[in-house]
Amino acid sequence: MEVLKVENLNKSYTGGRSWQNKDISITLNEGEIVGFLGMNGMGKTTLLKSITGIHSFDEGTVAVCGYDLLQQPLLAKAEIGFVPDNHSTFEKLTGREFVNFSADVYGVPTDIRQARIAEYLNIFKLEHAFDRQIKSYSHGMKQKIAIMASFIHSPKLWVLDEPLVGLDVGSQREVLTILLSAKENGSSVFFSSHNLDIVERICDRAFVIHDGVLIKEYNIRKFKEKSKISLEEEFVKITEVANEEK
Amino acid sequence: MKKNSAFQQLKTLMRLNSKLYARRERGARTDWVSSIFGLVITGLVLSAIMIFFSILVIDFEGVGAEYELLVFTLFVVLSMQIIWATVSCIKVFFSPTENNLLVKYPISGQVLFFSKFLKVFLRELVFGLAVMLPLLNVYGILLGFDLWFFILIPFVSILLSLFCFLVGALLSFPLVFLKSFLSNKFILTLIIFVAVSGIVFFGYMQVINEVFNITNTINLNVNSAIMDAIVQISAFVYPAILLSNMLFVQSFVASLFILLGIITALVSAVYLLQWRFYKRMLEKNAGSDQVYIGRATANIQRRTMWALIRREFINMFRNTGSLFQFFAFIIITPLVTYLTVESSTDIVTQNIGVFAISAIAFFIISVFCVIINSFAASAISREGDGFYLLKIYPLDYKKIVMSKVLFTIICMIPSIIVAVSVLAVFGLLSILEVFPVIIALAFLSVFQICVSIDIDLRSPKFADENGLVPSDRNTTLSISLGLAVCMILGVLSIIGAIYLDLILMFGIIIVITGGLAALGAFLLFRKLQGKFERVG
Repeated sequence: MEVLKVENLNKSYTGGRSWQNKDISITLNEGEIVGFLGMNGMGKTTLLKSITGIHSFDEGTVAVCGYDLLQQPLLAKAEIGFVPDNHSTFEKLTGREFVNFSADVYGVPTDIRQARIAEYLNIFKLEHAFDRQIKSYSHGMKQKIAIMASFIHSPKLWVLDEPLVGLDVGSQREVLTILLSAKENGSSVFFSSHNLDIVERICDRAFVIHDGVLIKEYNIRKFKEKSKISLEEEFVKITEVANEEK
Repeated sequence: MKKNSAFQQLKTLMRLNSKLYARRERGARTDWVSSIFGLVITGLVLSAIMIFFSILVIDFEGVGAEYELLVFTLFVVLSMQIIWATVSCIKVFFSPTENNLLVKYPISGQVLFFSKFLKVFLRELVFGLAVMLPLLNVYGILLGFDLWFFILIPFVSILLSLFCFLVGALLSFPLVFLKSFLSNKFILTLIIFVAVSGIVFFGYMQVINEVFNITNTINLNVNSAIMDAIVQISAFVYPAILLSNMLFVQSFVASLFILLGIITALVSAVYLLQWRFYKRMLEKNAGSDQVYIGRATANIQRRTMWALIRREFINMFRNTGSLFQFFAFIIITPLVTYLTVESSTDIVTQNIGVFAISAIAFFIISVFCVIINSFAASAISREGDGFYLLKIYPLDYKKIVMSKVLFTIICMIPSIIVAVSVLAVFGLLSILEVFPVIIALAFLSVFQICVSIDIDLRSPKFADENGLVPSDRNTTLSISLGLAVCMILGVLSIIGAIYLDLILMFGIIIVITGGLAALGAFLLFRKLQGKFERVG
């Protein structure tokens, strides 16, 4: 089943004078973890915002679990959980209030949310801070509470914008545990990252974006079997070539 | 070498201060223009008030209250300027965002403090001169004072600004601890705000009543007990009396020396405080908020609309600004409207007739509602980054906007009902008048809330990480519009009270306000999707 289908998506902030995303087509299947790679300012966040309905796009279609994002936005968004790169939260709320607000909006029943909250708190070790106001949280704690709130409804599509930035090793492992368990439960994960070792370790596929255009798609298993260089070395090579061609 | 380096650091920090101010908003020039415009308007308003009191003094020829009036005027200006200076000093000296950066640099506490000290003082001086120069010149011209009075005005204004600034700087140290202590005690803060606002307003109304009593006293003369009291009290109003003495060239040298002595003592106290505590306070993050720990409640499911309204409430309740301007005002509205209506009853009865009291009550409560409802004009802006989050959720944009409208209405309506009921209990409104007044006020609130949210939706100024909305343009617009509507409806209801039957008059007002409420809702919800999607 196709969890995400993006077809010929174009997005510009300048009325078509310069494109942030050009003719992007991506498909994510059920139970896949897909990495999204690219240098800074190449259009990764723009695409993630387009497919999660935060901003509109100029051309193309986005379908989440078969729901068209423009025609059926509420049904499509109900299948998505998104953690933005700036770990936005409602800072005046406590962790518990924020997670419960999210659960209310996604319509998560009491018994299910209680079980999920207990599970997440156990993985993230956040019990001690759960009733503290979020504005007193550290960067890593904010990231964890944002993940809890975004995925409390167990969405089919998990979208994360650079989820590992600023996290210590232990916290990174906790986040990766969550992503892998989402995959095991049949959800699909689409995340941008600059940490290519992790992408190589946990992803099934990866896309590379450069100057708003998808320049490469990798099947990670096949890449690891055939290639003698690491994904990081490969990434540097293809972006250098793309820069030269430009 | 060391001196030079400290001086260089000071220069750099002063340059940084000016840039931080200039770049706070894109329209930096507009900021300066509006600040100067604001100061000129303040000066003109105060001058107008001064002209009124000067005419009063001239009217009571032979009373000889020019000196006493000046003492009290300077006292009022001093009090206002001390409050302003204290707020500025707390903001500038202890701003956590800026200080967290600056404290990492090899800059001594003295240099850091002095750069901020100069910044606030210069602002205080500009404010002081803008207020004092027109005020005192108008007073001097109207009462025909001699040349010395006018020559000494700038000198006295500078001394006054310096004094106020030093008191503000001194007060900022203990107050920043109090602010930090209260930062996570929202209910206690609300109680303090309500108590202080109630007492201040009660005192203010007593003064207003006394002024009316004095102006109504026909046999006022030099020997009157009131004038004796004024003269006696004015002898104790320090340091305003010293400034007045200097302007009137009475005991000039003695007054100047006492004032300079007080200023020297204040400078020493401020220097000691900063030398002993300032850098250490910054390093310990003084002034930043304490951690709030909520109750460990059960994780239960709520309806989406209720969850949105609850979030709205928490966001507002955990913000000191809205605790004061919104919640405290809502709570004290019944008290202040009762005091205001009660005070104006005699004037209304004498000049128009007892039948106009309900019209006046409607007008007075509507003015307070306008001030409270104007908070809706930051409903979108105060979301800050949170607005971005709301767009991620599978939430209908109509539901999000509706939750903001409902939240403000839910808070406002009980306050209106209590305010009107209090007037009825004390016999200022009849039972027949209670319901029409409540309905008309509720409609008027719906109108202003909808229009205010629409204004904010069209041009939001998102709150910073401390929850502060950088521009109050939308709120100003909302208050201006609300007051204009109140004035028109107030005049209509008074005319209606004179010429029409009371029921008919309120019938017309309810139809008009109902129409306004419908218009407000139409304006807000028309093309809402487009407006909502453009934000952020």
